[in-house]
Amino acid sequence: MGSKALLSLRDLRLEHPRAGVLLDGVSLTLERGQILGVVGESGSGKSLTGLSVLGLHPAGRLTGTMMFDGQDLTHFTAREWQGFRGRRAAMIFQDPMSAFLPVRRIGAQIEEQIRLHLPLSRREARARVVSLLGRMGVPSPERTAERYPHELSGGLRQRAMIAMALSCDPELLIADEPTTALDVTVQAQILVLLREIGARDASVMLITHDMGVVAQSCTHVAVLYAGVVIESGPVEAILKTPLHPYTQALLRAIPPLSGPRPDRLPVIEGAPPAPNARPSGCVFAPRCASVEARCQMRPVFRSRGNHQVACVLYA
Amino acid sequence: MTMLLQANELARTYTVGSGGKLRAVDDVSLALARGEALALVGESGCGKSTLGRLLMGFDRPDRGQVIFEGQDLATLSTKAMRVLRGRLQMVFQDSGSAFNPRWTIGQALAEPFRIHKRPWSRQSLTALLERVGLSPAFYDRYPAALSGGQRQRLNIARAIALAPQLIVADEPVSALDVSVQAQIINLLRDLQADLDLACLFISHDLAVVRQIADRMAVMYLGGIVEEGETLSVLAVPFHPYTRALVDAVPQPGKPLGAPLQGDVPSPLSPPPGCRFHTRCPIAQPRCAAERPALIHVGDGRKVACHYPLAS
Repeated sequence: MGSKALLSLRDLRLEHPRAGVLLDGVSLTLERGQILGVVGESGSGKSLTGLSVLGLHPAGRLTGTMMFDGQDLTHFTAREWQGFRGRRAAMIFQDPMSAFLPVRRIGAQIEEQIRLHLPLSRREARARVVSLLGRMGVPSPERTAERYPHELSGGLRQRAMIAMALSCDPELLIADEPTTALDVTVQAQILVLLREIGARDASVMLITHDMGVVAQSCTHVAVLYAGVVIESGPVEAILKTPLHPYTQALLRAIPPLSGPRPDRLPVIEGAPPAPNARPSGCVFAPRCASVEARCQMRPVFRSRGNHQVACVLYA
Repeated sequence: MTMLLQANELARTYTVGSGGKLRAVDDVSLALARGEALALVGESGCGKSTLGRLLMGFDRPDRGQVIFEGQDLATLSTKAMRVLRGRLQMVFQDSGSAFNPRWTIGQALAEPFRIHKRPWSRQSLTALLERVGLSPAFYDRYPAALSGGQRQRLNIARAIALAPQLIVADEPVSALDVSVQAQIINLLRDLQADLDLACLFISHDLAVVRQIADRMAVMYLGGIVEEGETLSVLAVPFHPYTRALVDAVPQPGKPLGAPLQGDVPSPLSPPPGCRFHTRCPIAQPRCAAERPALIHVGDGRKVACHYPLAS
């Protein structure tokens, strides 16, 4: 971990008074210029991790550290969060329709956010909106800025939302399932755009359930299971030689698009633990094929080559 | 060979609020043999779900006919249609809204038997639960006790309860996580083989389609643009749209190609000529003027393109 880390989460733990432990040891590092895929199945805590970085997680006891460019976010006051969200880190969601106000024009909404954070005149802000929309690949940006959200297609709305998120030049863009609601051909367009943004504008945390999306857009990946980061590292390394039995099983369960068709897909039996009934040892142990006695203790998340993995097999 | 299900030149147009005509399905012919698994593939708005509804008899086509086991669905009385329904079942994507939350799982499973006045027993229903990999202990519990994957299993159990010949499954696994999705795909394949069940899968996910369907038909703006054996279509697509769909699927170890530009045109005003020519990377002047017909090109493959990609 060099000193270049933009965002570094260490042992982040979120305990909800009723639901139980939602995050239980999330450690990850995002360096400038990286696109980090945060991948996991429903309920693994991947969206919560993104929300925590913006201080938007549900009320509960949050422990651990969240270092962003040298500052610990866990000690932020409400006022500090206001200057942080949208300005230094911004988030986009799966459904851009609900992120925009339906009764105001797209351009006006982006303009509002710019003027909230930056000392620009209305005219300067408008020029910035148009140039942003253009950079996001929106055709005829002046005209599109005058449209209402429902007048745009899903793909264009997602581009407009990315433009809004990037409007104040944040250093970090958190994208939560940005392509899940889109058709594959449009998804491919947005993934190309996100890669350009990662190379040009901001570091990206891409939250997704789709290993294929991670493979094509991310430089690094952190795999979450039941609120725990169980493996992380550069994308090629993780895809080529996954170390954790869960990562291995997850990759095997994806139906292939070429080569021989398997008679049966390998599956992971059972289901992830509920937040209020978590195993005290390794969280994956109840479903793991290589489980052994040592798994009763929570494995340490440690480096192995260029991976980091939490499994006794690599202790 | 007589076909189990046959659709001849189906067309369905909806009139939308402003008086516009939305051609959801435009001149589609399709056939499904006994025990065969066929997938309808396409992006949102291509008409695949409407076609599924027409084939189920939920909606009547404006033109063309749907023939199931030699009977034209349009000529059947409500009563005759009701009898047929037992042999023609549907599975939807959202298993959460498919069950009455106040009925026990046993009651939900007994419903098809009750409607069709067939005998059932607790024993036969628990056997059905086990058939789809659910514990008989769920019999007296409520759907809320089930996870998403388990609910989809229950949904499938109810669809196969009356031993149908055909199941139409609209995006049966797209709401599920990868590991659960694999379980349901395996289950569907097992049932299909064991019960000699014909299946029509409606899906946008090519990797899933490759795993469960023998044959596939690709739809774009209400029409079929390519049809053939799944493995062969996905390995060597002839239509440029199929090619673009295959290339757009993000996969480990494969660089992302240049994506198709633009969006699917509105079905309210589909382009003249070939419906795909506005986004096609190899379009020629002829494509804007003349609509290509879906023609046989050998090996059971069909394609609707003036300039099909060379193999």
